[in-house]
Amino acid sequence: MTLAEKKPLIEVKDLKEYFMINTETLGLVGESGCGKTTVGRTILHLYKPTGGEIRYDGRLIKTKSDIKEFRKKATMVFQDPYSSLNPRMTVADIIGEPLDVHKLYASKQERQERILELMGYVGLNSEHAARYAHEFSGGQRQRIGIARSLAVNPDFIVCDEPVSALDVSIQAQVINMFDELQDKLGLTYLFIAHDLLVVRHISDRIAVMYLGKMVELAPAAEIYDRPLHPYSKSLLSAVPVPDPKVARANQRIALTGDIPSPLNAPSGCPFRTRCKYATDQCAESMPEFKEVSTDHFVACHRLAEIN
Amino acid sequence: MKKKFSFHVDLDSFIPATDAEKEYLVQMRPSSTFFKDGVKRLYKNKVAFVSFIVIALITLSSILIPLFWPYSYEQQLGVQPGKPVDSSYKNLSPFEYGKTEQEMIDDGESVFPHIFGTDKQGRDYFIRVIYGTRVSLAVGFFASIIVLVIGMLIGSISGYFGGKVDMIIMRFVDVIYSLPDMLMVILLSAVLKQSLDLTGTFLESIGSNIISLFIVFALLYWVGMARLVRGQILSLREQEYVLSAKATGAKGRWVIKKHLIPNCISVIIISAALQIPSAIFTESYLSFLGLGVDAPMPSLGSLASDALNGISSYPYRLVIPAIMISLIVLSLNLFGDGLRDAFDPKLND
Repeated sequence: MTLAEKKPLIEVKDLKEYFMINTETLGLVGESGCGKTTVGRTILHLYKPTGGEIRYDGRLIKTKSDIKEFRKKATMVFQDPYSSLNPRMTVADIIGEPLDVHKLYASKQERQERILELMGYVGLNSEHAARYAHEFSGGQRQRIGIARSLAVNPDFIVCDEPVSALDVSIQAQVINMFDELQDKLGLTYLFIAHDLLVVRHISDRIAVMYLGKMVELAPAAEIYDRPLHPYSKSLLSAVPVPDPKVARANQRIALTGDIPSPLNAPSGCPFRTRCKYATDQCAESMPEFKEVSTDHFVACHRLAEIN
Repeated sequence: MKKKFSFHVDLDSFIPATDAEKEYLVQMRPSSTFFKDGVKRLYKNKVAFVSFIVIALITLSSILIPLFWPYSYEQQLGVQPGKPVDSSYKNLSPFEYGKTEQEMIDDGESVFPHIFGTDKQGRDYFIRVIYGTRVSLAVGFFASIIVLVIGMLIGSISGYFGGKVDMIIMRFVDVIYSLPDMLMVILLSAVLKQSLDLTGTFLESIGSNIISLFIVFALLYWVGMARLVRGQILSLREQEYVLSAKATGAKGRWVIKKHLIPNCISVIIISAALQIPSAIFTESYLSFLGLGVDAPMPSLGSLASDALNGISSYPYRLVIPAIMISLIVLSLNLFGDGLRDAFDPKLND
């Protein structure tokens, strides 16, 4: 059974076949400004979608009451652990906020127990509950943010570069915690990042974005070993390799020019202005996003000639 | 086996720390809130602290002294029922006594002194000053509370929702801002004084003049507060914790109440504290112009105004309420500055 035959948890139409399967992690990579964060926030209806449709568990999310219910199933972890926690609230109140908003408890006692349980999930002590966020380090603050996102017992979490503000040793702890929580609670992640090694470590599948469009989607190992789209190739060649001998042997595919403005995107394939294989056909039509081998989707006209 | 001159670390010379040792090394500062830190800073600021004590003393004495003082602010001492008016009580100098009082003292009885003398209708001047202080302070506090509530409500709605709502509210604010406020205050209080009909309501005892003062403050002075709050909220609503609350499904009211107001409350309170002296000042000059409180209720402004007639004979009757106004306004201003320094370190560069 291929991945695509499993029942999808989240589907985004218009971005074509852009879906997440139960308890998988979909990594979303791309350079800054390509719309990774926008995708994450639009899925959660923090931005109003201008087109297409978002389905959760097969049901279309459209009306206000749909969105309200959806908010109990889909949450978000933010990039900056400093500005994403209110400095005037105690840790218990921050973590308990989703419970308060959705009135998910019958008594104060129940709320307190749930908060302590959540703090246990992310490795915080119960004595931290009455403290304020500024008394914690970056890694601990990110744990508080993760505990908050778990409060409503969600199925799906958008992780918007959750580790890029942390230093490397703390990154590893937090990433491993994401893995453990996924196993324990059966979570599905959309993991947005620009650190390709982190994404490779945590993701089951990886989607590559360029200028608001998906250009390639494949299982993690496949995309690292055999990227097909010229943009993915260039992006992956930029991954630093710890072994200098291997690094020297690798050819870095440098792109020329700047990323065009998304407001005034090029006609046809968005990547054609920086692609050395571009032809007239690329300027005329947007390439179809099609499955070229099992679970491997690419959008490129000249796929056959390049590879 | 360790080589000579080797820099290799010998692992055997390390032993793991026991739990007790670990516990000993953990340094936990007692949890300190923003508010506690601010109070600590305020306490260290001598000027602000002294000002606070002065305000507290004045407020307490204006509340407590009338409770036990033997004379009341409206009692004309020379007027006794069934007896002719004793004019010896009028215009007494400080620590002078009226004729009947002098007789009682000569008989060996003790009489409570008139510390500041009496006014031209034979009323004890000290209690009138104290009562006037009470009225002025009450006007100041209530006016700034009215301004705080209206300004905070409108400012936060304008800042949070933005767009058209913000446009309309802010243009309205601009209109009010551009009116000459002295003129508006005088016109409004003159009109309201005539048109307010309070008979039969509980507000009657307060008097239509004070009520009209409050309405004037409510109508004119909320705009400054609204602008301040709007500016604060405009910058705070871009914070990620606000986005996070929205992602949770929180509504506008929740976000404003739980996230935005608590994060700009210090600026708001400081501005409200600085609003009090300005309200007292406005009340004083309105009373001085005869638009303030109803006679016989005194306020510091109307006391000064009454004293103008006898300024050559009894200058202290003008000086005393003037000093009182200056003391209140100065210490409130200094305290407000201290509050700002203590609670808004960003402004303190």
